[in-house]
Amino acid sequence: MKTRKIQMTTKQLDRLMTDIHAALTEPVGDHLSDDEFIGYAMETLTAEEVQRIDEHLASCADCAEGMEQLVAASEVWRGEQGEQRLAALRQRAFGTRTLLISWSDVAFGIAAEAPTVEDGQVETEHGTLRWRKVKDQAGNLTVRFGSHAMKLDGRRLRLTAGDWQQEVTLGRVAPGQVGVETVITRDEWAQLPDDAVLSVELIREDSEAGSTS
Amino acid sequence: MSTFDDLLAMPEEWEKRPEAWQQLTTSDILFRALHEAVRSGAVSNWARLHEMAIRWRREHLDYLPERKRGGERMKWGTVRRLLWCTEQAATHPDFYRTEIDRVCFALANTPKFIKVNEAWAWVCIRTLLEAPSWWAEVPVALIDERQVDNEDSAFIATLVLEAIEGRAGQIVHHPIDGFYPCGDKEFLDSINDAWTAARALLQKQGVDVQRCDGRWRLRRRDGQPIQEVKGRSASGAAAWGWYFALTGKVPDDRVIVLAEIDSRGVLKEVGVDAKVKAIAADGRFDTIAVVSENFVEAGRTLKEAFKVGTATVDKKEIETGVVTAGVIRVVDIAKYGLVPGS
Repeated sequence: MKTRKIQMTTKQLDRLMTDIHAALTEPVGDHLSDDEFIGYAMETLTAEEVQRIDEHLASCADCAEGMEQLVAASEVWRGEQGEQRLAALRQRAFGTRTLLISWSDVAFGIAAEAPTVEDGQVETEHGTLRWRKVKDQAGNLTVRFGSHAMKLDGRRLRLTAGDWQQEVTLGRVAPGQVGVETVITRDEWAQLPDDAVLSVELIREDSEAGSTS
Repeated sequence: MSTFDDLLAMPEEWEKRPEAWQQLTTSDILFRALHEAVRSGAVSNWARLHEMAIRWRREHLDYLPERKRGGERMKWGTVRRLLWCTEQAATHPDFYRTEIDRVCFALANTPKFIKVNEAWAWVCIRTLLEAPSWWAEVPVALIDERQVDNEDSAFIATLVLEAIEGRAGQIVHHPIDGFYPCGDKEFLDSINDAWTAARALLQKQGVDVQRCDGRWRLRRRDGQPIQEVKGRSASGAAAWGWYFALTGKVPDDRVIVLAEIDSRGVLKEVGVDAKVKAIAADGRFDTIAVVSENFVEAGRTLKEAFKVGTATVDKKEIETGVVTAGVIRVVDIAKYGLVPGS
């Protein structure tokens, strides 16, 4: 190795020493992002990511203090109880749905010579839910749900076919019965493929979500 | 269980009720079942049938969304009236025969829903009892309001007019079309004026028709009742038809009248352009009868429809009151006349 000699003035040497001291007090790498904070606290990061963040934390007092607080707070989400809390939170945010019916033979938008009627029923955790599909001569489809199970009062049903989606709520429609009707027009189905499947889901409500283990 | 019971029975499952209600309150199915019930005398427990009707109201209609409730309750009112009239016809046929019966009916302590529809109820009961009647069918040219800007907006319908031995001299929309009420006062008044004019004309001719009642129906060519009709333009044809119904004669089915009639029995002009075109296209008619004010326009339109020459009505045609084009002629009622002896 060849040594190279550089001549410096006293003033230049003072400036170099100041720069070296300043570099030693700067944090290593960028400050942590929100995702990195959470990932580190929840222990969901790879070993390489953890090492990189450790190096940064060792040189950055601000991020180290933030991380300390976050790790303390994240203790509430750990363990069996923490998992339950997280599950309840997810259900509250997104709800849960139970698939009740899946109709693949609807033949959407095709007009019938005479109205066609189809009846059936499905069991739910709240009782039997009956359904009736009526397709009129114009090609519109009326779907009705009815039940004597009053526990279904206020429950929401989600009807989905391709990109099309509609939510309806069961309500009192007769003494001792709940029901709801929805009409899916021919024009609405014109946007969907011929082989679209119409599915019906029962939506679990917020208050029920927390009780799920 | 009779057909009548089947119709009135409300399904236990809510989701099946709309179709059952629709079947009960659409077309003439209920009226025909009621008519059969009177004819056969098969019904004995009328209270149960009334209860079945009330159940529809309490357990279905009262739960409908507000936007649907009004119209369905009107239909329910018709069901209740029809049921009441049928019970009367089946259980007390002798109460509904003579002029005295008619007066007693007016004075009787009938339910309010009958009191406010007294003439209709009387004719309904008489109809269910198959009171003797004479009828005439006349064509009327109407405008479809939904296509009023379209050249093809006019269409030909049929007015079925029946004179019935009824004792009061009133006319009503035929109870068989009870679920298709016409709400336009102008149209209803004009049909009434046509009835009055026809009776006045016959009275002048020495024919006593004061004891007759009347009932009418308006049908499309496929036989379906027409509900959404407005204005007075069908009244000239109605007067012509009432005349034949009241005399028991048959009108010429190749003639169509385009005119309205006022309360004094005076014929007046109507919009004829689209209607003449529809008549020319229909192919069933050989004569269009119009008032003098419409004669030139109707003649010109007819010539246009058949692409005849310059499509102008000349002086000679105006003098004779007849324009002929293709297989159809337009006649001026004032010169040509319309009903015998008028």
